[in-house]
Formats: sequence, structure tokens, C-alpha cells
Amino acid sequence: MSRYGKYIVKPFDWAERPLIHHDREAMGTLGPLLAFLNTDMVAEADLNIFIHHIDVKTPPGPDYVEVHAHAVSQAYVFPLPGITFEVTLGEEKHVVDSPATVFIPPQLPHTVKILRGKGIEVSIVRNEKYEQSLAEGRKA
Amino acid sequence: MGKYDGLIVKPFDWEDRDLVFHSKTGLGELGPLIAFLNKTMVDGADLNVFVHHIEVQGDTGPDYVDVHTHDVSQAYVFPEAGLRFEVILGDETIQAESPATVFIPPGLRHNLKILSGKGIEVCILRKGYYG
Repeated sequence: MSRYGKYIVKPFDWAERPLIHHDREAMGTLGPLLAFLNTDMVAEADLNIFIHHIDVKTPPGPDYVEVHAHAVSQAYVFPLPGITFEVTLGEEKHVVDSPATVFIPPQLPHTVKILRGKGIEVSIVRNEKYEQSLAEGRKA
Repeated sequence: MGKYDGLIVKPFDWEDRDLVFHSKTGLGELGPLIAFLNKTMVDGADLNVFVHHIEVQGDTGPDYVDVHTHDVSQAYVFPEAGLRFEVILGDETIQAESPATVFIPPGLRHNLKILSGKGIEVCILRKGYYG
């Protein structure tokens, strides 16, 4: 019996599951959101990883996530060329072409909107479950 | 100039820079290793992200990384289908196919070998530098 086989996991479609601050219906129009790592998949995981497969059929893409903040850091990684996105960081809006990374320090209000293109976005939260990383979920 | 401009960074080819535990020749045979995030790119970053563009040319990929450990957790993420790989975790050798994630807890000996195929690997370390 393998002791470490539990650390190798297959992704699954997040499908209809809710994601706090996100409009899943609008998000789904861009393409499927796949869970690649969380504490339900690997109990000890202290990283939360989603990959969003994106194809903007009618630019610009929809607004699908409210401005929010996490108690821990996060990164949006767009590994391949082909996507143009708008990221809000604090009071600033930036339009960026992939490939690119956006690092979001703890507590910084942020949101992202995909303007056009096709590709993938890797979202990495330096914590366990996505909901547990949210700043408003933490008690002093 | 925005206050947060420095949080948005463009990746760059790691090229001939050293990477501890890794043979750059073996890595390079598979394809370019691209740095997407580290604390040199973004001051204060507590994540290190590389993306390896992989294409195995021969019957199997090279051995390019020694068995090693980190003091923080790590994840190998293979986002799409098309790669076969072998990981050493502790005293076990396990083969798997993408898409998949390998989570490596702090202190667990590990290694990675790409066996066949084409695609990308996203390597995430839970601190701002690799080592």
C-alpha cells in the first residue's frame, strides 16, 4: 500500500459549486474552472490552486468577481500568451497581456476581468481552502 | 506610475542561471524554464513560481534533478493532458499522467522525471525563492 500516493491528485471540474465573491454563472461563460489542489484533495495542503480555462467568445469578458481581499498572498499566473486581462489592485486598474504574473499581497483589495483571448489562468492562494483565506473570515 | 505597478511582472527565461539540485543541461533538453514569480521579481513575494515548457524528444526524458527536500511545501501542477512523469516521494517511485498535481509537504524527499509527451509544468514553492 502506497504511503505517498495520496499526494498525487487529479483535477476536477468545480462545476456548479459556489466560490465566494465569484459569480459562477458568469465565470462559467469563459470556460471550466478546475480544482487542482485544496485540503479536500490533500489534507495537508497549504496551497489552494485553481486553473481556469478561458475562451472569451464575446469581448470583453463578463464581470465575475467582486473586489475582495485575502488574509494571505495570492498570485494570478497566466503562463501562455493569448489573453488580455484587467486587474484591479487597490484603487488602480491595469490592463495586461499574458504571459504575466500578478502578485497580490495580503489584505490588498483586488479583482480580475478577462478582456479578450484564449488560454489558462492559474490562481494560487497561499493557504488552505479558498474561503479560509478571505480577509473578512479571519478574526483577530 | 502606479503604486502597485511592481506587483505585475513579465516572465523571463531562466536560461543558464543556476538552480540548486537541478542539472541545467537536463532541464534545458526538455525545453525552456521560465521564471514567473520570486522575491527578486516582486519585493515581498512569498511564492516562487516557475513554468517549464516541456517536450520529450527521445524515448524518455533525462534525469535532471537530484532527490532533495525543501523546508516549505511545494506543488508540481501539470495543467493539461499530454505528459507522463515519474515522481519519487520518500522511498516510493510513482508514475502518473497529466493533468495532475503533486503536493510535496515540507521535509519530504522528492524528485521528478518527465517520461514522455509535451506540455507545461507549473512548479510552485511556498516561499519567495527556490532553495
